[in-house]
Amino acid sequence: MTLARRLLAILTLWAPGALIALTWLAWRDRLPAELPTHWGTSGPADAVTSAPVFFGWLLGIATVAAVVGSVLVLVPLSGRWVQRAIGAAAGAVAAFVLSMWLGSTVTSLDVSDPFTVELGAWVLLTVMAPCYGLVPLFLLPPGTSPPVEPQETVKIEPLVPADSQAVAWSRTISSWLFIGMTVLLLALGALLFAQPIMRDGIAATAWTLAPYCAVLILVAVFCAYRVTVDWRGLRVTSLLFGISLKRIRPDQIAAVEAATLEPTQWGGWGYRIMPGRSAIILRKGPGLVVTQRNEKQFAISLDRPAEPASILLGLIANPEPSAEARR
Amino acid sequence: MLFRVDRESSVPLADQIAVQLRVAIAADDLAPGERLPPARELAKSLRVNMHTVLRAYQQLSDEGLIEMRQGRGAFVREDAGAALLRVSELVTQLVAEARKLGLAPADVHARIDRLMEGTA
Repeated sequence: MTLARRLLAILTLWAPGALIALTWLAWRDRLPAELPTHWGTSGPADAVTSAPVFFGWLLGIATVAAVVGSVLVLVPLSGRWVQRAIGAAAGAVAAFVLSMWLGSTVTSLDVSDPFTVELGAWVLLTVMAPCYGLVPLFLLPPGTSPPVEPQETVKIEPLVPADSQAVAWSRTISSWLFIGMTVLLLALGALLFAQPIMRDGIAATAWTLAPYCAVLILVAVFCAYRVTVDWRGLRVTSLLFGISLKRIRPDQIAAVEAATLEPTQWGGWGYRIMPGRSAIILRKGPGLVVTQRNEKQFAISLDRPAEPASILLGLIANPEPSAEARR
Repeated sequence: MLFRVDRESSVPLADQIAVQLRVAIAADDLAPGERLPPARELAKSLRVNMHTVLRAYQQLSDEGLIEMRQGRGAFVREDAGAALLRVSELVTQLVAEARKLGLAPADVHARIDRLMEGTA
């Protein structure tokens, strides 16, 4: 079953290239010698390329994506999620190339002058094409990566407050890693979009501007965030718009550890999401590791993780407040 | 930083919070420029009235340790160190008085600890 799904996934990587080759064979006689390959914001094409050259390039790229994707999907790499990511990337590239090919050829069938060809709604196909990567992603077997063994854990005593007491821990963290990334993205955005926006207006640039803004916000929310541990559990909230980044209730927690976080164990620096675990890793160093009852793990870099860990352990030892948290 | 309040203590809740914030600033657990948790949030965390937290913040603001920025919350002042000098002076006075009374260092420590933990 797993092998069948894997082979089917590989087949989906080759399908776009095959479709390029088949349509070339079928339409070769109906296509002009040169194909339209570039359009401005409106109207007919403003650049053309020799049809066999364009065909050769696109088929070449689709084939390379399929070959690289197939080999890496079959070779056992560090984990299944790596293979799924590679499969998705290869599928997205192959489909994107196919969309470029279809956009140029379907609009040029039985046309003599390629400069009269208009792209029209075919541009949507090019925008949507990378979503094809989801097909191999879902076909490839999901990873069941083993849980991370926290390193150099510190023995922590649970902090169980008296009935008349309440304890809470709060820390605001500014991350230079994410601030740097945000500044870089802003600079890149200014470089990429300033001219098109001034020339064509913001509406015409919206297609490319929207995903850029989404990525920018996704990075910017981690520039400054607040970590709070109290009777309601663990919460990580961005200071940007107060977006909730993580929330774990006390009754969801199975284990808590103050450990030394090794970025390679958690998939690198920054906000990491992997099957069964997520993490906010700013550096190699101390942090908090929370294992949930559903075996999911969450790790976050913190200077002094012992205090929040002791409160959370106290909540597990004395689970009464969690019932209150649900109300 | 860790906050702990005790409703049964004779020390008012706002004073308990203020003491802990002072200690955190002195120990550099709260760095200059760092933002304090919003009063509403901290009040929810500690299950106290928001005005109790605001009173604690106001105390520290009056002492020049933090500043309240309209609509942006409370921040540890960059020059919080200058205000801490005053604390150091008070500690010097305390030590002098304790010596005069013949109190042992352990007694003084215990009294300070009790006050700082809000259980005195």
